Amino acid sequence: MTSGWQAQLELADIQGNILQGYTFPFAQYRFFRVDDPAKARLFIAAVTTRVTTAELWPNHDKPNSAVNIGFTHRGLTALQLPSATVDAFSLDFREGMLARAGLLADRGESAPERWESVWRTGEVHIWISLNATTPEALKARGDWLDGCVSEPGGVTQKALQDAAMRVVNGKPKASEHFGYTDGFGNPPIAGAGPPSTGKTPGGLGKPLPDGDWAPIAAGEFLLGHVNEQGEVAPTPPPAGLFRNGTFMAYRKLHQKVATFRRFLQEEGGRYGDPKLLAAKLVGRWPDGTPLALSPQMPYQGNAGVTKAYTDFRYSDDPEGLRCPLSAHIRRANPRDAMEFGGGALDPALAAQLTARRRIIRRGRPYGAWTPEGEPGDDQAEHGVIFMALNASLEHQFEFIQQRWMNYGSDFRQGNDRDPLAGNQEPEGKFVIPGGVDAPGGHPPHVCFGLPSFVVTRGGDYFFLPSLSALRWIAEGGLR
Amino acid sequence: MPDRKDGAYLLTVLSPIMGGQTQGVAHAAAIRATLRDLGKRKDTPLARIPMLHLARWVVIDDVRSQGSPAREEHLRSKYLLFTADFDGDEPTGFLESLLEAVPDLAHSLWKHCVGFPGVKDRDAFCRYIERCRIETGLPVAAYGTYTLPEVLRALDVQRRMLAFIKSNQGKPAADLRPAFEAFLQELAAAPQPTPVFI
Repeated sequence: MTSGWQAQLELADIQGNILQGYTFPFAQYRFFRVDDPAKARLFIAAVTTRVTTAELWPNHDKPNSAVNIGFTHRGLTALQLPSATVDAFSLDFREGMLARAGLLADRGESAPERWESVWRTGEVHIWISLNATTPEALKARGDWLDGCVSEPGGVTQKALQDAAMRVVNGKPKASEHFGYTDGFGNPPIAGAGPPSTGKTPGGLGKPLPDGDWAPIAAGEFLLGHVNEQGEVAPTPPPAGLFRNGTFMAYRKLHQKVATFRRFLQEEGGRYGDPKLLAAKLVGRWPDGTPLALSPQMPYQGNAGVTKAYTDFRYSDDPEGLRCPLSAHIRRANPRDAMEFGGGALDPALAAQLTARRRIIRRGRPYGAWTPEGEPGDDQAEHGVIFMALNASLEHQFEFIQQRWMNYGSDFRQGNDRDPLAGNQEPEGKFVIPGGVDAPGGHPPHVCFGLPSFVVTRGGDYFFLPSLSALRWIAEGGLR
Repeated sequence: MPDRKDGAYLLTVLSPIMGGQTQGVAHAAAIRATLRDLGKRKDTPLARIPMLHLARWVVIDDVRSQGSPAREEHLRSKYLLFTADFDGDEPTGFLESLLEAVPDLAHSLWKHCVGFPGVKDRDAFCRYIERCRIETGLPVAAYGTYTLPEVLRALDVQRRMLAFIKSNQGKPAADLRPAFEAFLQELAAAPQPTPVFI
């Protein structure tokens, strides 16, 4: 019995793209500085009239664009909201991503002094995202936004970031620049309404002991709601207004396509199978087939298999013979497989703990695609705009980034980091247990001198208020 | 026995710090200065204590009122907290090693505490620590089931194993076998590693 599917949340008060992804292929993120708080509030009021909410779209009534808005802590301060509100936000958000770079492992090539300058000057106050079905619809929505800026003034646009899904034969594909299909793992949220299939999707959310799965408590992603611990985290005053808001970690992650392709060829040669190595790094074959369900080959071209992409657990593979313990998706969401002393998996406890470390990922790739077979270019402008939504940056996004992406102890991997997303130390390595991935088995393999494939180019923490709070902010925080 | 977890002993000691000052410096501030200097060192003298996994000193100034309805409560003095996680069933052997390894450090910290008998009389020191010892309510041991020499040995084996894999993986079985046998001999001959400062 899964009771979480009734739409109990106030969808009209919650910004869109939090509870469910828009799936619009084209996106543009604009960043503004507040110059004049009174005029900036008029700008926010104008934008708020068109902010897209979480209300469900009837089948044929999907709009061709969507608008959303968020604020850095500097932004809320610049808007001159009451200090009782501004000072009451949690430390992670008040400090912002730049100050947290150390714990996020943004060092070396990813160090803040090498970030794009807009992220180093403290001038990003407001984030506005535009999502659209076509480039034309995106342009029209952008022109509308320009109009919102020019009328009252009060803000200056400091940066603009385009992003888009890859379009192949007119169809958008959920792939990123290394060639993997992305976006399988977002958790369903209790109270957000039924998924389009009308039933609990297997493998999403929280694994239950009876084999079923449950949606994650809304309080893990929205302020003012009960979380998986049974608690409601404190929100800034005025009480109630900050309910239904969420925090977003926005990161521009550059992808070193040439380094990645060279690594797959060279290390894949030593391993004996570049394609299998690519799958072992992530825990999925490039088409998305999980190693946990199909360790020997991807679903593509493998007719007759059940094509489940999410419905699996790890506790039946405690040694990582199918999916390595250090594989990216196993680290980012260990599901039911973690140890708690004693050296044995505790699936129920792992499921409980993992449910408190989930994030919702929204985001899009940016930049030019590198055709297959070409060596690629590390300097070329391409990567992914990573956006993680959560109720607590510290306990969710930052925890995953620090403990699971850039450390390995929770997975018996010592100091090893995530082989795909980790910021590698010079002695970085990736251990692939031997096993069941080929008929007759495959010998174990250790990749030494693992390079970093992803470089942080900048980002910040944003608060995405409810519609109620947005109107309150636009009115200057009057009671 | 909450002070013990598997093979480890988890010692918790709270020593009341003297009020007032010495040579113009408050006792608690003098302890803090010593601890700060200790933190600046590139090595640690505590590495000389053979069974010790982890130890720390912390100055506790006060605790704030807690509970509901709120009631203002205070400690009667500042305290020096000392915790240590070491191999063994009871503290005596460890305390003797502590005195042997870092007598000056121990003296420079505890001399600011009420009732400290000094470090010259070993039995008196042990009795003093026992008087200040409180039960460790929630023990968390870094490596509960492994002794320090075992942990150091395991890390050394891991390091050597990785070096072996690095230079041998991918070789045909006929070459791999003698190389592995040589590696096993290398392991058997490897000296017991000593603690290092991390």
